[in-house]
Amino acid sequence: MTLHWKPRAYYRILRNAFISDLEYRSSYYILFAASWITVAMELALFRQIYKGRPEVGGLPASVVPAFIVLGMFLRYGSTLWSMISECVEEIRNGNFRRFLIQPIHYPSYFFAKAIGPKIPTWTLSLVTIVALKFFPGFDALLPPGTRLPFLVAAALSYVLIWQIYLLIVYLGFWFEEAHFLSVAFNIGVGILSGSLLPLDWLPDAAVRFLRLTPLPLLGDFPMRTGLGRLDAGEFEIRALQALLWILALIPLLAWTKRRALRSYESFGG
Amino acid sequence: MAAAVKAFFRPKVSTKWAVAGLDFQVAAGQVVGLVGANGAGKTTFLKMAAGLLHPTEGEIRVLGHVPHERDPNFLRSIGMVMGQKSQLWIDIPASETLELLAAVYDIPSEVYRKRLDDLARLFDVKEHLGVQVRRLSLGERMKLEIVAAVLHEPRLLLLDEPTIGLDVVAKDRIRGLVRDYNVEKGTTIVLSSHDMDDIAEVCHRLLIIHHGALRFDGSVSEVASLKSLVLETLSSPA
Repeated sequence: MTLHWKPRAYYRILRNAFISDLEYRSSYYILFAASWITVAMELALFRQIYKGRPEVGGLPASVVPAFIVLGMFLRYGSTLWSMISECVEEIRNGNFRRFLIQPIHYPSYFFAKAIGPKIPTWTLSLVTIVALKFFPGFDALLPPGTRLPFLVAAALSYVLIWQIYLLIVYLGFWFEEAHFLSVAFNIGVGILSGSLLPLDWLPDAAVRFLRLTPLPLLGDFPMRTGLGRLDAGEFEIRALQALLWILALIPLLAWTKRRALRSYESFGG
Repeated sequence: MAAAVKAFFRPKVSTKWAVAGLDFQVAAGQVVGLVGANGAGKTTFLKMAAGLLHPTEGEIRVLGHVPHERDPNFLRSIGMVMGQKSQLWIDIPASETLELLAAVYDIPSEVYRKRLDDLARLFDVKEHLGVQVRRLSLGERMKLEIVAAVLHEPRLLLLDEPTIGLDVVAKDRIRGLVRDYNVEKGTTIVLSSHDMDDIAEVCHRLLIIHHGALRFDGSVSEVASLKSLVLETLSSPA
């Protein structure tokens, strides 16, 4: 059974979500400001950590602004967690069934619905990030030779994060309490992926354990790629690891989906 | 509150058979009314027919498909209106949702425009298409919900309490529209309702469900008093 790819439908979902969200202009302004307030807070935090030292835990002070900006870009993927919570909630209260009766991949429908309103903010942020490169202090941002690898690494990390979200959504059909997974994932992902703080700052044992999971591939891998801080041949190995995780998650997702939909009780009149 | 705290630490789980002993067939083009008390299993049956629920036992086939396999061809053949759940995007005009549905159901643009024109005339909603859904009355919204559910011309339309919360005039209008649509398109319709007038004015056949089992199956035209029949059936022992 295949549900065909429907670009026209996804365009319409993105468009409708965007138009719907324009109803809430004030939220737009606040959210855009909030994303940059977070960056400012991170800069202040790092300044306190460094306090004039040229390097902390292998990360030079000159790279910090670029690290923060790249981290923000990558965390856009994980900011969709609120949408996943909403999705799991709709599955729980039965509202989600309006997607299930349509011949379309329903989680993608929901994801597109969540992404639509974010497009202007993301675009504006991306333009700002590109512009920042020309400001003093941001020299380490995407040095020559890293741009294409960074895009590849970021794309792989986005696919992986999307698969993890999908897994949580399917578990939402299975367990009424799946909501906690999206909350737990959101709490941990910034630190454990290395997009909020450098992964090397964690204890060695923790890093060794994390390397057994896909989490560093969501943040640390694209971050280090974008900062040009990967060892020779490391990019290929990490990219292969990400690809293997993506492939390994496909059957797990298919099995979870089948099992979860069998258990779905679709409460509510 | 004590019960809520207790349930937080030690949730009590019980199993209830929502539907058991429901055995019937529906002929193409027929309008069937499902009646039963709250919790009788009407909505559960409709959810199974739409493929939302997997039956734990027994077999269900709809239009030659096993609904919960969710074959895209099956999903294209059904439409569903849930009186208490909206399929329309609330903050934008209904026309935008309809455009999206046309894309989801792969309806070519020209066919879509012609179909929408016909439906807008039949359901008298032309002037409401460009209005934000949240600004519409419940009756206007329900008409648009039905338009959204039949836009792809399903062979089977499942209506779960489509007149719930509507005033007398709106109910009458919705009933007339559903009846006219069935006559015009020959679509099979299964409708659940607590309102006997819905059944009397729209349905050919009545099914009374009680505690998940079928208790009456007969022609609406042969029943002298629907209300008496339903009350009698639902109060008699199983």
